[in-house]
Amino acid sequence: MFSRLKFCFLILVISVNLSEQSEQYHEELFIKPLPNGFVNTFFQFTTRWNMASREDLLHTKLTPRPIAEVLYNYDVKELNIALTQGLWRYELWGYPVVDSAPGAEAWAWFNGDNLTESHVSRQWKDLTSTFSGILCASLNNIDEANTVQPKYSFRPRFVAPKNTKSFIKYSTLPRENVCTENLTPWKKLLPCSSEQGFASLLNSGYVHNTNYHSVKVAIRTFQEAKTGELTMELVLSANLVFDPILISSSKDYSIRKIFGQGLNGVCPMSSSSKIYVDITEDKFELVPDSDDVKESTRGASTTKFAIYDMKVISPNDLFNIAFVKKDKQNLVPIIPPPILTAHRYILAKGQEEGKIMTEVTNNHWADLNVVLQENIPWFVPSYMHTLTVKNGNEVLKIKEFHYIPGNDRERPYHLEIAFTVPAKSTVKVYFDFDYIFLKWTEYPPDANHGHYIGSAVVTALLPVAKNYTTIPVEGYLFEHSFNASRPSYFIQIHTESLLLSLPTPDFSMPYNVICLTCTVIALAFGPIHSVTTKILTVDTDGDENKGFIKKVIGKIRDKIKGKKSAPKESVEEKPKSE
Amino acid sequence: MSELKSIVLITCISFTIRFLAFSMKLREKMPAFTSVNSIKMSNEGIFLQEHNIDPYSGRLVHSMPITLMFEKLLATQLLKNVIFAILDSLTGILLFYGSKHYLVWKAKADSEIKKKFSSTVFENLDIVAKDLISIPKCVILFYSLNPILIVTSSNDNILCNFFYALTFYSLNSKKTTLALLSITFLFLDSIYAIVLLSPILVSMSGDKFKKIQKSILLVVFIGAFILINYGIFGSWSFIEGTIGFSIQSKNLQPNVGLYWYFFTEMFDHFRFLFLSSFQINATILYIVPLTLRLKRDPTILFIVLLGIITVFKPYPKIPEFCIVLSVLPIFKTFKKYMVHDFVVFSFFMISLSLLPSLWYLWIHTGAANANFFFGATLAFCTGQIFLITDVLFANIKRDFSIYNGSKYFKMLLKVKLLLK
Repeated sequence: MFSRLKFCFLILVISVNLSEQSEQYHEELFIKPLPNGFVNTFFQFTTRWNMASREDLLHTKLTPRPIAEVLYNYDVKELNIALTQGLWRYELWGYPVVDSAPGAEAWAWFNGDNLTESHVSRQWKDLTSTFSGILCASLNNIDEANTVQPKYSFRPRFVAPKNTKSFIKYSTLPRENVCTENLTPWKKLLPCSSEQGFASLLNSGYVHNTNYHSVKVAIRTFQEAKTGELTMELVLSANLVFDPILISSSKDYSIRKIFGQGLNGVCPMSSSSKIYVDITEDKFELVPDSDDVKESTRGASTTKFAIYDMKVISPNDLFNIAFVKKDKQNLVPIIPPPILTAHRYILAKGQEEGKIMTEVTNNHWADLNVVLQENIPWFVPSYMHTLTVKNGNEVLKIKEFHYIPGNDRERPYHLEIAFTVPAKSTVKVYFDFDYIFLKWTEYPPDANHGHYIGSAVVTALLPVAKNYTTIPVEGYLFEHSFNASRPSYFIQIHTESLLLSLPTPDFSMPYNVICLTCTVIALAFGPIHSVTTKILTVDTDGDENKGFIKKVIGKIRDKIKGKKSAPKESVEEKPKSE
Repeated sequence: MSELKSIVLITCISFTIRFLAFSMKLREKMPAFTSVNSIKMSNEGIFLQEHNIDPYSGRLVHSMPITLMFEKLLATQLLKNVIFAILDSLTGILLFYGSKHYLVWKAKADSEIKKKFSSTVFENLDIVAKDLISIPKCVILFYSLNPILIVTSSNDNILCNFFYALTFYSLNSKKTTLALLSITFLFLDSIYAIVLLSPILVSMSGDKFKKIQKSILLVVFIGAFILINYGIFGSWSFIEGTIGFSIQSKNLQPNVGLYWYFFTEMFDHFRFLFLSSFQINATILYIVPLTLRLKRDPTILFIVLLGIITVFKPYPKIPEFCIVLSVLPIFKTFKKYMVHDFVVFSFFMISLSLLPSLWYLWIHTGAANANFFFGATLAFCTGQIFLITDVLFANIKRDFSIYNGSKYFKMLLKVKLLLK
């Protein structure tokens, strides 16, 4: 017994030693005062882990055990799950660091030897069910009926080995209500949980007061083909937008005010712990001020950051940054719109036929190539022959067209098109759909509330990095976005999700309908049964009152009988005339 | 020659009305009544084929590849309107000649029975010489000028109606092979047309061997036709999309039939039971008894069976029932035995005027609910059923009078159906 324990201990020590240098945890907080007076706070908790081999996944330290097991058991190489409440307003807030669709959004890349479509489908189902448990979200509702395989819109953020095929699965659950029950399990994935470090700011009472909040789990792995060395990157991020006036009834705010408490030291496990404040606009005086100010020039636009290294400033004590407005005058800010924005809505009269309209706006002075992905649920049958891409009255050419028609209860309608949005113009993309009728059990509990249609995804490569804060694909920390100039900047924005009110049956009627319909069928069955099984004879008895008629009948019958040997009034018994 | 003249005249009028109605897109304003296989759906099918996407993998396309190809060939909308207006007018002509052949045959058959059994005078039971012209004229007029037909028939319906009329014509002119060919086409549109094999076999004079031969011929035709479609399309998925679609009855879009609301409200674990009993009801349940009963008059058998399948199939279409309505004048001599004619007329009038208004109230203004529309469709179905059973009863009563003499029948105040 003792020797066994000792052995276990030995293994533990070895594995801890192995991973000590290779596993790193970083916490970052990016605060950006938004042009319209709101404030965006973006938390990012990154765990990066270099492993000698895949087997190391079974000995976790900073990485949560369930996530390591998922990576060990499935061929998933990249996984993104985001739970979002609210809508990111691109026109007012610019682009977020990480964008996600309203509700739940999940996509994963699978890559492995001898991987087939059916394996991937099974693994995807298992994976989403697992994360349904990990995040307490209804991700278990993801199945083939709401999963698509984007062809153009999504690019892997890992390097796939040569001669292997990668599979992607993408799904959204726009109806998902994101709440405390998702935030608490999400925080538990962090090494310090919510006890210490930046995560202590995420009090559910305050987080759910926001205008927009989104929590995300992003995992990716890279494997060296030769050595089998594996790098895993787990990024947990939370993106929140507060309205300071709502919280503190003034335009000044502080960390303590918006989160309910000051920053409670740093997480002792973290390798770095930094706060970045965007001070480009210079509208606020920061208290305390930071000595470390960095300028980042990226794609012809310069951003200034005040950096607070919490490991140095206040590793153990409570810490607060106050934002005091310099100019107390009430100025209406002129907000320069981002280069690319998109909106979507339904055009319909009655509940018979409608149009789904997506507007993509290019505010840049040059043309912009975009890819639009529509993920239409199976209960919205869409007619792609009516698909029109129009700029004003001019019909634009669709450069790429990828469409998979949906089927009832089996597969969504998946459309991806590539087109060019001319400079300074709005392109309208629309197609017709029918309102259909579902089985009475397929309507949600509040049937007249309507059905959600997940948001469309617009993907583009921006020529300039105005309003753009996304971390480049090769980096993993927020500071990697500093001075990261590139020829173009990959952006993915989401439109609104739609609410479609389908016509409803009367839910109280099943028995009545069954009875009435069967009655009508019986109306046919009865007479046809009589006509075909009975013969027409004259009713001679049973009517005592009609003695006269009876007599006449009898007479005639006798007459006929005497005249011809015709059988008894029966049509059937007559020989055929031919 | 006046007959030819009037046909030409009516056909011209019919063509003009149809062409105008199609050009004005009148029929696209009634989507509720052409929901399955509507114009939009065939356009979608053509579009998907052009983009190398299997049209039958989705839920929207249920026309056969050959129909899609036909529509694709008619490139412009104008050409389509012209061709389909011509086809629909041809349908009227086919019905005209079909009913004429029938009346000639019927008059002959009646006179033979008369010779054998009864010497009494037939009042209003005889087909007189005048009827041989006036009744077919009525038929073509009923078909050509039926406003309900004009606004509800989509291109697919027009094609189907053409083949129904072709079957009717070849059945009455005893062109068995032609009839089998048109049934073949109808079969792939909706499998229920297979039921119409029975009147064709009954109409054939000849021995059993020949009948079996013809049945095998139909199977060969269907097989060949499926192969042609396969050749055009290059994949078997169209079978699931066309035949499978009408068997499974998954589409719950409201129509004038009995299935949509029933299976909307049905409990899932009973679905299969009810679906199979409904399908049996629409197909094989009535074939044998009705064939045995009506074997002397295959045309009535044809019309009654057609009536039954248009009521009981999962996605009934009003245009199909309009064929049944149009040929009703050939039963002029039944008229005095049709006791429900006023009831049926009222049912049709009320339900057909209520259907669009209740649909509008439910779907567009939200003032009514599904039950209202369902009630109207139930009434419409009940009207159809009454009409069919009325024709059946009138037929046997007329036969009874012809065999026994109308005078005898006239003196009876009461006729009862008794078990044999």
